[in-house]
Amino acid sequence: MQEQYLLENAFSNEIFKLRSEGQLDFAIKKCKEAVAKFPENNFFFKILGDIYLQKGELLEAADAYLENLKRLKNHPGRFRTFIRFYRVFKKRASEALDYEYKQKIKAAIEDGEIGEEIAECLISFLGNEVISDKNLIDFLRLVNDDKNYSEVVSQINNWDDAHNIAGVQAVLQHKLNSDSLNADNHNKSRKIDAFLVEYCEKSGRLDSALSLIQKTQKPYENRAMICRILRICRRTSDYSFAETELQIDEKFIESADFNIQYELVYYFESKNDAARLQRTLKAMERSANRSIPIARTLYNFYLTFNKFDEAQAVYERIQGMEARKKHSVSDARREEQLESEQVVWQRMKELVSEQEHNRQMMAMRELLKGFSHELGQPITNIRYAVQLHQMKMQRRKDTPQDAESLMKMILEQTSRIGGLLARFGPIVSSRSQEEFFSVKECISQVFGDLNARLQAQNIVYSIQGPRDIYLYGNQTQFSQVFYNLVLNSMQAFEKEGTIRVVISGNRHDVVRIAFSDNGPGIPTENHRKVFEPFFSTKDPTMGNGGEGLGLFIVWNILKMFDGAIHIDRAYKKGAKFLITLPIKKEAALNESSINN
Amino acid sequence: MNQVLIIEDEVATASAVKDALALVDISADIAVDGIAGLEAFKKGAYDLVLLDLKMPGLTGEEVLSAIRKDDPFVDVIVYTNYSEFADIKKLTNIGIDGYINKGPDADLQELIIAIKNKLAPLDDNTIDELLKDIPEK
Repeated sequence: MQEQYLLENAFSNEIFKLRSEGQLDFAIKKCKEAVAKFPENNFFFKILGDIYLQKGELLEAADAYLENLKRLKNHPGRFRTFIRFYRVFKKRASEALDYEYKQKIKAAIEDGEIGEEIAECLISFLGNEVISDKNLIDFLRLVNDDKNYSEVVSQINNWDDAHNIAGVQAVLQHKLNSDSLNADNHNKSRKIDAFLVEYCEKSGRLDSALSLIQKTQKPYENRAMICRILRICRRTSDYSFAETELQIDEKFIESADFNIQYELVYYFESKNDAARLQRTLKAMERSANRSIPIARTLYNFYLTFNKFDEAQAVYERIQGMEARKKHSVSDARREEQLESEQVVWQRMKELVSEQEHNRQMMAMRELLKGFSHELGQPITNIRYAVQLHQMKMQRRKDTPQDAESLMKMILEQTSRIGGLLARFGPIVSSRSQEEFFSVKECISQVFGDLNARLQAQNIVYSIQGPRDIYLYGNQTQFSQVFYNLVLNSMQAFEKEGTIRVVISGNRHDVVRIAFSDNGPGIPTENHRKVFEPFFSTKDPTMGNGGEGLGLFIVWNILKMFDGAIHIDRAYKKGAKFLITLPIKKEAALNESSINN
Repeated sequence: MNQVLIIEDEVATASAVKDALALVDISADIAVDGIAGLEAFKKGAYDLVLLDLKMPGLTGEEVLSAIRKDDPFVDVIVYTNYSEFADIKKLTNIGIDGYINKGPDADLQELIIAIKNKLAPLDDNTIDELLKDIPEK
């Protein structure tokens, strides 16, 4: 095998060399040697054909190529070289020679010398002249006259059921290739042509469908055909055919029926033409008065394009219509309705992926809103205190004690502002240093630091899990997560309690931390809100935090670690937070270095 | 002497207002949240309520609705240190007689004048002038 390959290579190299030196006759001689030596190899026949073509010996070239075809087996991919050859051949060859060649090909097909798939390629490329099947040739005469409509339709459906691609292909090719079809013929087979277009669209031959439309359906008067053009263009994501063949203007929109309007919505959306999109939807409103499915479709469109007020109006109209009468839905409408619903769902999905981002933005807005409120309090206090003092001075009622308490108050309020800013330290701190740290050790240290307070409140705790799960990042920030969670639990306990931390996961992928206490838990209605800034059930004047920032900071820090925190809703014995954190790839890779 | 009820969770703020009102001979009580505020309102006879909108527990809006149920005529001035929290249109429909900003715009003098105007729209001189115009019998 290897030997033959080397030998073939040697031949082809030599032929190439001779050819490039212009010694075509020697090249042909060498080719013939090769052909004799490797009779099954199509390649040398192709080269032989090319060299003959180069020399202008068309008949020999064509014969060589026919031999090539016979050896292509079923490799339609290699058929392209024949197409290239034949285009050159046809330009140079006389009509007689071309005819003779086609007859030879036909004979080869008839004798079964050419593989089936290659034969199909030849039929669709060269047309019915190479069709060996007598019945097929007879059939091709039928397709030119609508008298035979039902016969043609049933034959094509039969072929389709039997997966006879060659037959269908031959008919399509016949229609597309035959220049002989004049206007009369078109009119005679308009119904069949329309059927073929429909067949092409249904079977996914969209390019053939468009070519067939262009060739057989002009002028475009049939609304269903216009709709079809737009629909096929939508399916191919290329409206250039519709744009050259149809005049899509204001008049077009106004005179369109619902099915065309439906397609126009997609067209104008693809063109980013908001004005005409709007106009089309407006035009649809008229049809929507008649039919509930149309109204539903319109409703879905309005939702898709974020026109909620209009959607609401249509929705109310649908309800009114439904109340008036029971309605039967035609299948075609139902399909469009379904399709537009799918678009809505697609849009919803995109929104959901945006949702996390929006959530962050909302949190940021809430933060700033809350922040300005929180800052507003001490600012008000300072201003009122100063203004009160001014009023007293104007009335000469101010005392040294008043001045003393004014200054004391200002200092108190400024340190209150300072305290508020300090709470954001863990988030905004830039002194931070990124490092590997053991999750368990980090959490243990937090409990260690808080040990005195935990003991004073009779709180016991346990931390379970492997010590060798590492994260890469700012350890100080990470420990802040657990300071806040522990403080949160401590404030929830009446007098004593238990806190449990369970670390699990693998060392390369993800770490899960469950943090639970046996306190009163978090009421279900607050589950969503607890991570929002300035959400608090505690009294802010107690001086133990309580400004509602603890869990917001937790959430933010975990975000920085690309992690997430959730409340375990099923847990009823207290509050339980579930934290998941990805272990970054590079961290996992470097892990071995810290283990050493 | 007029009696004002201050419903405000920030004691420092409320005290400053109370002291300032005292300077213009208006007496005031302080309630630190909505519930205490409503209790005090029902017990006492107040000419005006100064109501903070953002408080823990009952919101200012809820307190306002409860006051209006009880007494449609008492003057209520709302104030808040963050204007976006206030839906003034809604509050106006429930019934408020004034709205004052706190926060960076806070002006105690302005607040006191607003309260004074509600309680005694005419100052002493104007009253004297008006009294003079009444024809004697």
